[in-house]
Amino acid sequence: MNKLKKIISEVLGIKQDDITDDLTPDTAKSWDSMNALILVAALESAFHVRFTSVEVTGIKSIREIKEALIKRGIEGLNAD
Amino acid sequence: VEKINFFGEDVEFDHIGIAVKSIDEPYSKDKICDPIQRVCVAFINIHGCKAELIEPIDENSPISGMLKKGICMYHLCYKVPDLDSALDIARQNGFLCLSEPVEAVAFENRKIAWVFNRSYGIFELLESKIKSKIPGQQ
Repeated sequence: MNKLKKIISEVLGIKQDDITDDLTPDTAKSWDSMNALILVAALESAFHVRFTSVEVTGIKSIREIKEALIKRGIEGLNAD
Repeated sequence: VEKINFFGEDVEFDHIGIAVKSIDEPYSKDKICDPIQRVCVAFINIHGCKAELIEPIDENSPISGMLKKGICMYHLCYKVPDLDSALDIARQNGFLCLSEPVEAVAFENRKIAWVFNRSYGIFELLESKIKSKIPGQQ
């Protein structure tokens, strides 16, 4: 099971099959400002990484989340 | 009661933040607007507890969304002797840093920063260099 999709699914309450790189707060109703913080906190904990304050408040799509994780050496984000 | 040092030593509680749609009379005369935070604030003393009433400047204010959800009490503020050090300790204790330290006009331009913890919510950290000038508080 894809670890990233599992976390996003749990925090945002979205089916894993519906999670695409293009998903944004505009297209996911549950991706509000509070859930955005909870999501970043969950990602930090699960992947043992730290995001900058700019990233914490600035990440606006699944694609950007992946880019931020890849930048920190996290691999296999697209695996099923 | 278990003592938890989220932000280091010599940390003092300063106020609670209460989001309101608008700051009405008689508190509006003391309203301070902060374009950086996109809010206007006024301080009151509720039975010895300092509270910051926070009004959104516009729809893009960070508290507009909370008000729409009916969230009113949304942060605790603590005074810290050294903001950078407190942020480092907060990070070690699992907090996300939501902003770098910035000057806040509501606090005589002392610096503030925001942190978030999934279990405990949002906290404001305030440099404690200048004594509070709020009536009824030391």
